[in-house]
Amino acid sequence: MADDKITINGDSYSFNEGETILETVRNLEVYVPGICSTQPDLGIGVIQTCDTCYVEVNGEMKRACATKSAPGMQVNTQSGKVKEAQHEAMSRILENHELYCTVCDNNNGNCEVHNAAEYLEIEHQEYDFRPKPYPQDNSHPFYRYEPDQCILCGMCVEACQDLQVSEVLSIDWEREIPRVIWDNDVPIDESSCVSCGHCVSVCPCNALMEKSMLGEAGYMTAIPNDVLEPMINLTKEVEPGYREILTISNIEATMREDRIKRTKTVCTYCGVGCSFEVWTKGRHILKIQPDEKAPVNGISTCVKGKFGWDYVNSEERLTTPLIRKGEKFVEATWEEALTLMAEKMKDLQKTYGNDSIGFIASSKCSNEENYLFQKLARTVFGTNNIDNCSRYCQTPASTGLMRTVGIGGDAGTIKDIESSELVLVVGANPAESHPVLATRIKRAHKLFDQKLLVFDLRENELAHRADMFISPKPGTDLVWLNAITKYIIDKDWHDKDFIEKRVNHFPEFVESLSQYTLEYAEEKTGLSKELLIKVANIIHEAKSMCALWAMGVTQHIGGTDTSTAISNLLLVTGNYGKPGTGGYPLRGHNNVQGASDFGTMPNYLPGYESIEDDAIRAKYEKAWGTKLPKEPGYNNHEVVEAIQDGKVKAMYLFGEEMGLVDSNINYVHTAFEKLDFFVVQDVFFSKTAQFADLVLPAAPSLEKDGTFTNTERRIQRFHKVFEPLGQAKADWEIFQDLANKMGADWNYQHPGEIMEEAASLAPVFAGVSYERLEGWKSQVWPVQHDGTDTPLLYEEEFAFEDGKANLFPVKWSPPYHPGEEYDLHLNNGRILEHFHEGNMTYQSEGITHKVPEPWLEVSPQLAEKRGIKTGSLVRLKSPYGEAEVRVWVTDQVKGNELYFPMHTMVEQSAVNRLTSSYHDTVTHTPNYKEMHVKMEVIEFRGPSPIPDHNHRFGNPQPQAGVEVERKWSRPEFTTIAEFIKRKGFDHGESDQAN
Amino acid sequence: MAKAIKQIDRKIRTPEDRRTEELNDILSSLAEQKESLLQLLEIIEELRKSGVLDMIQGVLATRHKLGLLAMEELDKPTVHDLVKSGIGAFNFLTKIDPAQLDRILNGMSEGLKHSSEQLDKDEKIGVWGMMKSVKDPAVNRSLSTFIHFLEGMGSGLKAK
Repeated sequence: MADDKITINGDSYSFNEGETILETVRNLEVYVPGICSTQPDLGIGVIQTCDTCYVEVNGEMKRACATKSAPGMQVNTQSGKVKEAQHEAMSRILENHELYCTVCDNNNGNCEVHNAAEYLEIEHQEYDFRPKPYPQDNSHPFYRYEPDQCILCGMCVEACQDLQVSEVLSIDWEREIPRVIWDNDVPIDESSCVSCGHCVSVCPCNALMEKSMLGEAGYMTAIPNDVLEPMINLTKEVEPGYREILTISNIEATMREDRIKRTKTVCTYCGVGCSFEVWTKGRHILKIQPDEKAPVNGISTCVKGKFGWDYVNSEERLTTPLIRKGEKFVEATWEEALTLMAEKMKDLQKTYGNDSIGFIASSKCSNEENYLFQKLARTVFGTNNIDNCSRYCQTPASTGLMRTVGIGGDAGTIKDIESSELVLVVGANPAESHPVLATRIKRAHKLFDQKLLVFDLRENELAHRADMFISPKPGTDLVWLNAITKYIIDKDWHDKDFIEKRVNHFPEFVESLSQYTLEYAEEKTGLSKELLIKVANIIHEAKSMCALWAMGVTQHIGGTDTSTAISNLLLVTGNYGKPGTGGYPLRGHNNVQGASDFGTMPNYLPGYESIEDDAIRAKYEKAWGTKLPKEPGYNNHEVVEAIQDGKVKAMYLFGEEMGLVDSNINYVHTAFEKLDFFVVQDVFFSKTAQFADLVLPAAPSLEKDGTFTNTERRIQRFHKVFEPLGQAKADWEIFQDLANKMGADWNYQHPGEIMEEAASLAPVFAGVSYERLEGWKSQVWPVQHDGTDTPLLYEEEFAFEDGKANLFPVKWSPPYHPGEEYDLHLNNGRILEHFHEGNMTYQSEGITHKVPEPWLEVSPQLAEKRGIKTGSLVRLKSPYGEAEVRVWVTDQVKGNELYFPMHTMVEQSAVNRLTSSYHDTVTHTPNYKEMHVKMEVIEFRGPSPIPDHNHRFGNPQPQAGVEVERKWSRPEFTTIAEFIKRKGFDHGESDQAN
Repeated sequence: MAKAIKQIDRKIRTPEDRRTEELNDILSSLAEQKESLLQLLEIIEELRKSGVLDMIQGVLATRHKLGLLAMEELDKPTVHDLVKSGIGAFNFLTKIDPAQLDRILNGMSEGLKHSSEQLDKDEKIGVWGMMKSVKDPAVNRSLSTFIHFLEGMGSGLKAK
């Protein structure tokens, strides 16, 4: 036997250094139970509460999960002693859990308690089942806790404390009969629970369950309680042994496979790209079940991804085409709708030319749909007037990256962010806008000493947790970024080797920084020199740094330049091309990356190939069999102007609520009114649709196949769960039908064929295919022909001809200010529970219960000055319009800065009635974040816009996970090893029957 | 020049329209499944004639009450014992080798036949007769089988 091997049940095996015995045996497919180690995302051997993994190690009883494998170690997983120990552990669990599997909604083949009891051939209850003296907690809208079934494994606690890091759950080990508690033991709904669902997803039994599962999943689980309880009692009384019960429940679980459909999908909210299974029964969504194999999120979800799917079955869904007739819409058939559309568009095209039609694409829809939409605009209508909503958010970031490193996307993946030594967050609120990505930062910061620097106006959750939270004057980020970069170079801390080998234009760049002294920065940003030096030191000391930014940077007049400045700083410090480094613009929508990637941009074909490049155009002309226009078309912003100027006469828009989320919406609305023909394709009758001449009913992601590309550039497949509701159709099918009505001869049978075509044309997607995206597999572009993908960019070279990055000098543009009379700064953005204007999330009763309407965050200082309180109703006025909203007084904001979430479908309280049409000078992204307003009080007193049962008013209880030591120090606790010793199994096999 | 409007005129599908549509749907699936449906109808008619349908209807309509009653009846110690014994007996049967059982039962049936024949004769056997019959190979085989059974049962009783 070689020395570096481990012996398991007599055979010797190699193992990976550092792994535990439980990991070793699992890799070898030797089954050892281990209920509290069933979720690798929580860590193996971290929790140590279930004790079912005891094995014999060199003759001693040890937890396999907490003992590291070592050379020469003798492990026995099957001796009598081991069986006795595991039996004892399981018996202790069953003291806390009744096995009524057949009538339990969690009996779906994946119940860890069931499976462990079955494996251990538990026949009888060693200790009587003991109900806990606590009622069920049904207070939360989405899940319930049943203490009687809780085995106190603490996986939920670990998930909440150390993975989601909301720090709400704990086990009160000191009370006579322990239980899981929320905050300091309040009903769940009144706690600081953010409804992310981690606890429910990891629960190994039915103690924590989604309410949507209860009485729905099983064949016999809807039996009323007065019949069910005696039934359980009867089963227990006559119980011949658990074997028979488990057999029957296995049969029942197998039968459930017929009624419960499990389909992998990709979340359709933010750009993080969580994937998970949707469990459905008919059209009823039983639950969202994440899986540790999901490449981005593992078992993590946020409230929207876990619980926000009611919109799919909403009564308000559009189910038939609608044609405007006079002052109303009337229902029409698809034939009528598409005939009308083809005729009108042809007429306008003939009269006013190809460029009289504008196309607005959707970052909520699939890559294939965006590809087909730009093909439709370019080939059938002969125009490049096409854009998507990344113009409202992240085009400046993409442009800043294209200037410096060459690719407009995240430099690495979530793995790099979590493994980085330092995370710098600028103008982003990931804990609310990218919740699952934020969990990885919060976890690394809490458990693995990751440093966190947050620059923001508002003290958001990450800011609150950060090592340093720094709040510069609005719109001055470029100044401190340049100043710190200059300071680092002046101190000779820059990565000279990296710059010399891999970066161009260093001397010119240094020259351009001359103005950005610490004194200048102090004056412009309001941040002291000392503070800036401290930040420079932290950046200098970190061996790796990731910079994350979002709308707080991009939605400014200087959005592209500030994004460029971030990338410059990363280049100067050598933070590209290594694990744990890079620039990460956090994408806001599920497919905002993919929409641009697949060519719905006025200047790019798919894969960011320039429309003006003759060779590239020739390639597409050959493939598509038609001439393509060379000149870039209007972007989102320009198209509105062009309508106002009478140059654009018709518009085709899908999956985009431009009428609420574009800036200066009054101006947008008047533009819509001027259109001769306007087609809106959506899942709901949106504000934008109210201006339409033709409304087409589209199908959401659960009703079609396709792929999305997340913020990491990761392409992931989602699958059809339901048939489209009513006469709704997948967007790609509508495009194809229209194209064919217009005389094209398209014949795509499945989105996979569209992807195949895109992959054959765009080099960065060369190796992308549906076969390679099956199951949980994903591809991070660029993808080579053989399918090799690129999770981390720039390891060898940057994406320019010479392979070198470019330092790109940028200057500060002072933000727009409407004038002295507008005395309050208006910040705006998202909150955790809702998404965008809220057309999907307000459909969820539970989410609306938590957040019924948006609010205005006002600082305590300002509130005092104006005599207003939480609940006051105010009117905000800017030069562009006015909006009404109720106030929440909170110290998250300071001084004269306001925060106004964007989530409303009520025009009157839409923040974009206040924003202007000024924009980033390079990309035309609106400067949403540069507005000042006046505030008038309408009512001094009124109801709070946030209910008391919102998580913001909870009382979190941070602790280091489940704290199992407190269990072990309970007076009656005996370790399993000790128990076995006392029982006298130290010598030879026991004569245990099982 | 289109102002924002909210009014949507749903094509007014009268309840009759909807009914006609639904009936058409039903008719077309009926036609598709003609064979099996006709057979099913015959079976249903037989069930009705025999009164089974009435019974099922009654049970279904009162299922909650019946469930409660049943549970009340079933959740009693005597029933618990009955079910336990039933399961015990079932488990007992699963442990027996069918070949062995067959052999023993065969012997028992022969024994029954023979004994009932003898019963009619009403003959008496004296002590001597008994002693003598022990030597009879057939009787001896039965006795030793029975003694071995007692041995096995004894050790089984000790183990549990």
